[in-house]
Amino acid sequence: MGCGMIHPRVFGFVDIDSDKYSGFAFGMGVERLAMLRYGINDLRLFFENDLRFLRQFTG
Amino acid sequence: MRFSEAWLREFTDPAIDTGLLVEQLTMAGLEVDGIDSAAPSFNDVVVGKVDDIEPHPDADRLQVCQVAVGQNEALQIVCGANNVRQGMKVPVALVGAELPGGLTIKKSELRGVVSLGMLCSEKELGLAESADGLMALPGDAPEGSDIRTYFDLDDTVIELDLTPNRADCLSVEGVAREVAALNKIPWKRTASEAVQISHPDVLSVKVDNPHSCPRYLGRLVKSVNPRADTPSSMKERLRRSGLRSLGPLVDVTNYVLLELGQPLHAFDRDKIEGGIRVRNGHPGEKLLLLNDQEIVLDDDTLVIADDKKALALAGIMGGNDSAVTENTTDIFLECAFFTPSIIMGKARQYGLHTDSSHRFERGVDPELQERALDRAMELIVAICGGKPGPYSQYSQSSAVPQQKPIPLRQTQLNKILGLALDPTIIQDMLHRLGMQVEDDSQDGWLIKPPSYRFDIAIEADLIEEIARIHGYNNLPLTKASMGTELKKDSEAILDSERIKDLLVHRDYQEAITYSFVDQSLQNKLAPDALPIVLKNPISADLSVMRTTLWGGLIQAAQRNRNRQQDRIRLFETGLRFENSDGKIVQKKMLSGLALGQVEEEQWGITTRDIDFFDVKSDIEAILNLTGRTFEFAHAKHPALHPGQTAAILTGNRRLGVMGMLHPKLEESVGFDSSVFLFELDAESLLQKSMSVFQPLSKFPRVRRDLAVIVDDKVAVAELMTSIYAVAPEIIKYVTIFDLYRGEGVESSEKSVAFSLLFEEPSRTLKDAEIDSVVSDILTSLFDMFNARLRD
Repeated sequence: MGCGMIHPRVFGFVDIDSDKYSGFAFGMGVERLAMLRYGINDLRLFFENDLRFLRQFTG
Repeated sequence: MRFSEAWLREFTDPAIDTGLLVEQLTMAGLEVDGIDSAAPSFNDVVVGKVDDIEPHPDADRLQVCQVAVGQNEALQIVCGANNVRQGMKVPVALVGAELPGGLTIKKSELRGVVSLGMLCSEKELGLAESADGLMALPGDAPEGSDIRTYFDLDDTVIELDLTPNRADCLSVEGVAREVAALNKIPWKRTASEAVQISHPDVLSVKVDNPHSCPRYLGRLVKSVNPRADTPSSMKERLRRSGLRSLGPLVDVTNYVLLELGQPLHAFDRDKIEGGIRVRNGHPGEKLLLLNDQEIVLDDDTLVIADDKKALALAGIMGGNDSAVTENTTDIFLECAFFTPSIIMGKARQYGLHTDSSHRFERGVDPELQERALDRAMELIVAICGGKPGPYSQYSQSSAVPQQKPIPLRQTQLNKILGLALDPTIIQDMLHRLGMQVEDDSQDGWLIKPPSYRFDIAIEADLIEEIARIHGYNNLPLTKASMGTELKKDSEAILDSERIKDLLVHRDYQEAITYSFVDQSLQNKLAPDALPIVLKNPISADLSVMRTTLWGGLIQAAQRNRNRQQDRIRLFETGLRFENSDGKIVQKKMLSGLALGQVEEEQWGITTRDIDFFDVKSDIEAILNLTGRTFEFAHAKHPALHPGQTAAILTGNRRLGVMGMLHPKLEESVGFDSSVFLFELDAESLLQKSMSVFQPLSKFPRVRRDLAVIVDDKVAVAELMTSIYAVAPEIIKYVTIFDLYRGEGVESSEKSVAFSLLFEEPSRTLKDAEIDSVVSDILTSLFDMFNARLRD
């Protein structure tokens, strides 16, 4: 999962002074986090909507 | 980038083990993809010398060898290889040796002759995919020494997954620089001596466009022996980097590529007509490459050519016709710097990817060429012999990428990293990275990065280096803090989670399907809609944006059906996309699908298949959460059964639709039972109506039941509405407790039984009053619907 400080050039594109402001950005795939937390082994299960998968997770 | 750890440690040898080294590299941004052992495991294989050979008395293709292995007596070993020679040094697997693949060496007899071991090829030791006979060891290999020790086979091979900005680490020397910087230790270059020039001949070099090729070096080497044996130590290092030995000349160029990161190319000098010209291709010009692929050049592709024709794809791959062969006697060795943007994308354009193009695309050190060429010369002369000539050189320093000094402000560094490092520590880190530090009178330093770090261009790049070397893990942790404010929570807005929970409690499961769907299914479900078509769909059957969520739900249901699920209840909230006068309108919808039995099969109830009213009940439950009043009215929808479709209305606005999937669609999509669907405007659903208190009546309610027979086509809801309308102040509730069709009732009619609850807040109602209202009700029902009382 990539993350990091925002590149000064990106700030330049939106007219933000990178000397005054710094920023960071990160992305976490929610599916991947769920995979880690619940021990799910295949990302595709999230999009197949198999009832045998859906029923395993109670709200 | 794959390399032998032992090779790396010749440049720099930190006092840490492999595990720690690997972790260090990864944490510094040179991600270790994996490590392998240099060779599969085997034991008891030693260096042996073939003292004596005699033909086998009983087998034509076998020979009986006496092999000295540093023990008191030579071992008698029977061998079938065709390259065994007296005096040869070979690997000998002793009795008891376990070789890769599970072969164990035992004392044996081959055609009546005792054999006390096995002479090995590279293949048998797991060092090569195939082998032409026995593995020939160098003449000075010590007899009896363990092969694993001799070749350092317990070495680890490290594979790095480098980010594109770190082209400087596409060489063992580059990785060594990093490792040295990280461990605060020195590193040394491979010792190399320039070769003596033996003849004056050069090839002329002409470069059309200095911007494409700012530096081009070459040397003519005469009288080389292309059949010389590449030393096994070099072959081993190449092998550990994933390269096969392809003859000494190619092996040397590959070796220098790995060692220093500079690609080189050897041409057969006799195939070059005239001098070297670095130019663009001519449109339509053909070139047969080393890999037997014939390509057609365009005028945007850089080539190495001679006076008559193109010889090679510059920086990518050499041509077949000018390649060195076993019969080559004179070579021209090229060592150049090509501008990355000229090479970038070119290899892929011709369907190629080579170690050379990989490096030129990302950037090769523009100051490396002389040293690399000298190193390659030294190795070629040592292995193949030959007489080197002087350099042919073309160098246009103005076209070579220049490293401009970059200011690094201490205050900015501290601010971005969130910590204040001592300036001497920072300066030390920069030195170790090869950065030239010029002290500035102002805040910080002026830094000139080394030629091989073309990824360092702005202050942020330097700050990143400091962070990296300091260690991202060592940066201090500070938790972000934010102010909070209590927000107003409006009671007029329903939380969508409650709707979802309600559906889950009614045994639905939440599904998430793609926003883009198969065009043909989309057209079947909404033939009148103009879906938005994607320019670059991820696949042909996900090519349009959905105008209804039903497509995805149906596909999910099919999938479940194919996996023996016969009771499927799914809902989804998501956007649907409509083309409205060229504008894209996105609307959030709540949709559902249900098929199969109403309840899970169980002993306590008789179950039946789901019908329209079961789903209507689910929707009513959702609507009840809003506290508003709704109506279900007959409707038509192209995807739904005309007799089992209802629109859900509030006030006069349509909130959504529900119904049974049209039998034709049901069949064409492949279901074998009724499928029910609904789709509601999710945003509108969230509007709640506040409860208003109604005082309780102190007086009892009165119940009256009424059964009427009416034409089957009359909607029961309308009957109820008209009942309420007769005396709305005292008719509190009307419910239907029975619906009957069959014997005693005409086939075109139905019998509907109502229970009416009367209540008057201020007094007890008298029977006479109620009777009168009931009578009015019957009259009204008869007048409006021709409904008559059932006997």
